[in-house]
Amino acid sequence: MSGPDQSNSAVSIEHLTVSYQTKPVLVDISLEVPRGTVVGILGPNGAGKSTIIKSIMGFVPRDFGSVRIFNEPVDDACGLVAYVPQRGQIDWNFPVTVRDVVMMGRYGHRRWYQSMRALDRAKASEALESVRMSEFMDRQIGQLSGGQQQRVFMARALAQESEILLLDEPFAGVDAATERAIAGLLAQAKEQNKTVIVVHHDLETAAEFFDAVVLLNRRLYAYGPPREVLDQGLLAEVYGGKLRNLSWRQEEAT
Amino acid sequence: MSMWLYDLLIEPWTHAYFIKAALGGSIIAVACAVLGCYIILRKMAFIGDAMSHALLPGVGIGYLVMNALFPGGFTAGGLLLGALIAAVLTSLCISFLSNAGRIAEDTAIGIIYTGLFAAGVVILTRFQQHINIDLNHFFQGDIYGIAWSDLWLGAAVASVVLAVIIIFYRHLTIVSFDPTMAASIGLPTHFIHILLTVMIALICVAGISMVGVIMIVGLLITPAALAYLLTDRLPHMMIWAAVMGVLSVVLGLYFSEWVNASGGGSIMFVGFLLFIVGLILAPRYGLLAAWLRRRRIVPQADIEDVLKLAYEGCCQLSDMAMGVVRATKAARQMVGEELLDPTSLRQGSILLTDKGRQEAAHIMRSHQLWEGHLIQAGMTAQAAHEAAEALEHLHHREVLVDFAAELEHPVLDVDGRPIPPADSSG
Repeated sequence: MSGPDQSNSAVSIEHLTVSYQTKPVLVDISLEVPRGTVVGILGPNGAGKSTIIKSIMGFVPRDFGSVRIFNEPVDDACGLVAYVPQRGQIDWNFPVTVRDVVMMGRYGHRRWYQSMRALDRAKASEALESVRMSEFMDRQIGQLSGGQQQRVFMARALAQESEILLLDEPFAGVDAATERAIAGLLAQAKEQNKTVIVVHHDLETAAEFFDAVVLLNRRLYAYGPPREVLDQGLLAEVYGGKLRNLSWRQEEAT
Repeated sequence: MSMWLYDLLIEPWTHAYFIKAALGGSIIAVACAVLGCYIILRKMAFIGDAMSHALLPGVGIGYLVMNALFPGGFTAGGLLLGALIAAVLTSLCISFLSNAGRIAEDTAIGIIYTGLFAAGVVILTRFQQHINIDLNHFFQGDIYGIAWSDLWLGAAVASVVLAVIIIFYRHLTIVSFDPTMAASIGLPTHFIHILLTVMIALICVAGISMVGVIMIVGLLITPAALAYLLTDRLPHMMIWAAVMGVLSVVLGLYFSEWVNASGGGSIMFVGFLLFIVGLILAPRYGLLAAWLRRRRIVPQADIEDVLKLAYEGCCQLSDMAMGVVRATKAARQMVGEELLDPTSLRQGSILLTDKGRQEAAHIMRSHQLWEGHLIQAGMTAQAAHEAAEALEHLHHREVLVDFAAELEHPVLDVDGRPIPPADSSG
């Protein structure tokens, strides 16, 4: 094994190649995410960001390569990762309350014939408390602000008690206050030594949220500390010609 | 008078056929309504429609096979089994076809269900003399003609459906709400989808003999849709749907007695009317409630106009250009938002609170910066002033920061009046 310290590895991807029909979506991706880090996955549309998330959950057929969660093959490691979906994937009119959603985080802990126990309810309340959403327990989820909704799903992930959290575009389309709230949640998860993997779209904010950044466009272009990865030359290569606007904004900001 | 009421409401219950219809219909309606909640939440209504029609060949073949094996008896089992096989086959064919290439899912549904239904019609008409199923019966059902065996079959199927929903409530809910998360904790999402499909098929077979294939789809969808307008808790939705389903059956049967019309048709017609009433009157999600809400909303632009006029020294509501009615409505809202002083408003004058003054200054600044920007962009002063009246409401902080930079941080506006400084609190 060539990776750095195996015992400390939360997610370990080796030579992962995934395709839809004949079109490759991910080509020969290898990376190690150490326990307790917050990693951002960046790349243009269609770069395979969601596919890599799905691979870590173990339900994408691989053409080649392996994904290991705490050194277990991902196919045996069901339930070790907690998933926070993209806002757009949720039907906000669905008749469930905040409490119902967070309790879903406990479903994986009980067999189908077992009912939820006091322990599950306690864990759910605790998770809601930790994101300061207890007072909204009985609200239908559509009647919350965007930031509160994001916190509810974060609470669900915490109630799952998984060591790895996967967040799909949590910062997409949120206002500045919500952005701060989510960043706070990431920091909080890191304090608890959770490993957090975030699909992210905004290059400008990446440096302040993540310990490490993955730059992806079907191939793995770079993986490392944000300052090194978010190098203008490399970004231009990954994003093609679409980067002019960004550099203009950065010049103006300085 | 009391005799008349008796004839209208009590007399029907003295007939066994009416009691059987009410009982059978209610049993099916409850199971349909509860199952229907998942159908509408998963946006599967069209699949339910397709499924019910596609049962026909299964029912026909099942009947033929059972008749060949046990001549003259025990066809109900064959019907059920055939219908189940047809339902699962339909579901598999639809998902295969919609994943196979260019064909989208709704197209696939349309192709598969008409194709299978046509196969059923061919089988039924070809083997007419062997199959005791009337096509007209398949469409309309015969709720007044149900036999005790139909009733028992309905009760058995409804119990199974309700039991499955109670046992798998968590799984059905999470797979409907967040399938990706459900899969990530290892739930068999595909199996749960098939389970739902099978239950739709079961309830259709049990219900078609009573209300027919189209009305059974109505019983699946309409009461659940009505319940969806009444509540936003899933367990409450299921209970409401069941109540509305039974109400449709009982009121529908009364209606069919009174006007002497088909039972199945009357049931669904009443169900439809109930839905329309609910659509209009539902307390939170009804049309009336939405209309009232919209009426109560004061346009933000009105509030901002009042703010600006008050800031500029206009202090009587009756002086507002928008008219005293709109101004009064806006002013009331503004008292609630602590922008206006409530005591002075009672005397008909407007006095800004500190918070109000701050907001007003922000709007003023927006107006003046927009004006400056538009003139810089080449508009005449008059045109810029008029445009700024509309554009001042786009006063996002970033826009103003950009304009202020572009105009090199002006202190006076184009008319030489002071521009309020940028609001530090945002």
